[in-house]
Amino acid sequence: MALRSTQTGFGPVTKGFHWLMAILFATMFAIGWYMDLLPLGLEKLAWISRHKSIGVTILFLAVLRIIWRLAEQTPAGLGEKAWERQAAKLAHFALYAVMLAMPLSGWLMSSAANFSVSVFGLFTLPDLVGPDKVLYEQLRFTHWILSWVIVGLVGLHVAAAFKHHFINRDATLRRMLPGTGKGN
Amino acid sequence: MTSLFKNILRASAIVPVMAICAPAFAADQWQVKADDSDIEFAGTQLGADFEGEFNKFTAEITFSPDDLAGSKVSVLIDIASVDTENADRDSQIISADWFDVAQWPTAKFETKSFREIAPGQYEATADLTIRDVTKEVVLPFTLEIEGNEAEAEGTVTIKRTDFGVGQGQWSDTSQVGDDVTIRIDIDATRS
Repeated sequence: MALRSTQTGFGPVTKGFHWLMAILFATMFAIGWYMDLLPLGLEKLAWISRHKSIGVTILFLAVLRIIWRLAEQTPAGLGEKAWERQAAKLAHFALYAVMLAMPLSGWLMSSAANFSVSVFGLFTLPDLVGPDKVLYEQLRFTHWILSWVIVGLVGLHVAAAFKHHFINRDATLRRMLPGTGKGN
Repeated sequence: MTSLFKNILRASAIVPVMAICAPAFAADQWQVKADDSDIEFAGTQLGADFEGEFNKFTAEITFSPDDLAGSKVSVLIDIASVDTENADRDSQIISADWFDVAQWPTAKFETKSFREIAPGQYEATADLTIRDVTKEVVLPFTLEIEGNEAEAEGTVTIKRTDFGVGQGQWSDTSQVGDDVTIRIDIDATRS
């Protein structure tokens, strides 16, 4: 199957998910900070609205991505040492976890604040919890902490990719780039 | 002594008034049961619905199904008693850009006429005053009277911008919707 990954290379679907998610996460981080700094006004609400809509999109894509990942084989890690390959697996697992946890914490936070989540004005998500100010503050803190956990994980992920590319000179980075053929 | 004096005064004032305007049927007076009555509203924010209520209001109700012409309802709503289960939103609602409680602490609903649509179903034409704007609204409602107990339920949708609720940038309705649905559920006892 041309769409699927093989033992040595990533398929176009996995690459698509990977880069789309990377762009969305970077965008969300920027919007999150920007909207937080804006004074209360139409602009702020408009950006919060976009942040929520994109967040739900990420949650949906994350579920699809995880299903796809479980349904296909994943190319073996190229780390030379066993602990490196283990660390990579652990980091990838953590990245999948935050793909779900981050939007979920936002959805929960909106519910606790009694500000239901509308997705691009098309439909509204059900509230996960009732209005609760204390819970809202805790979830807001969680959402903020998670944003930095993601920065740390993505930083590690990028640093590891560069390490493989420039120091080990293997295909780790290249095989995730669009257009490149089966890993070599 | 003083109370007797007051009573005499009161009687002397009321008796002639009654003599002048008493119709064939005098519409009944009703006392609102505050704990069982709600004035709620629903609006949209960032594309999603939200609900709230006004916890404090007073109402003077004179109503009889067989004397609609002599019926009258006047409600005063304490805007600062708003509760949308989000303190930030509540403090916004009462601020100068929205209801401006400092200048206009109450909203007023005063009926001008009633019309029976079907048995137990009526329509009240009323003046609704929010901030400094008074507009006529038509509130359809159902009414059940059992003995000395009554329950009225109705909804009416208004546009917040008609009343200047949302000044300046907030007159834009893209993030905070224009339509606000008001729902009343009033329980009252005949007094």
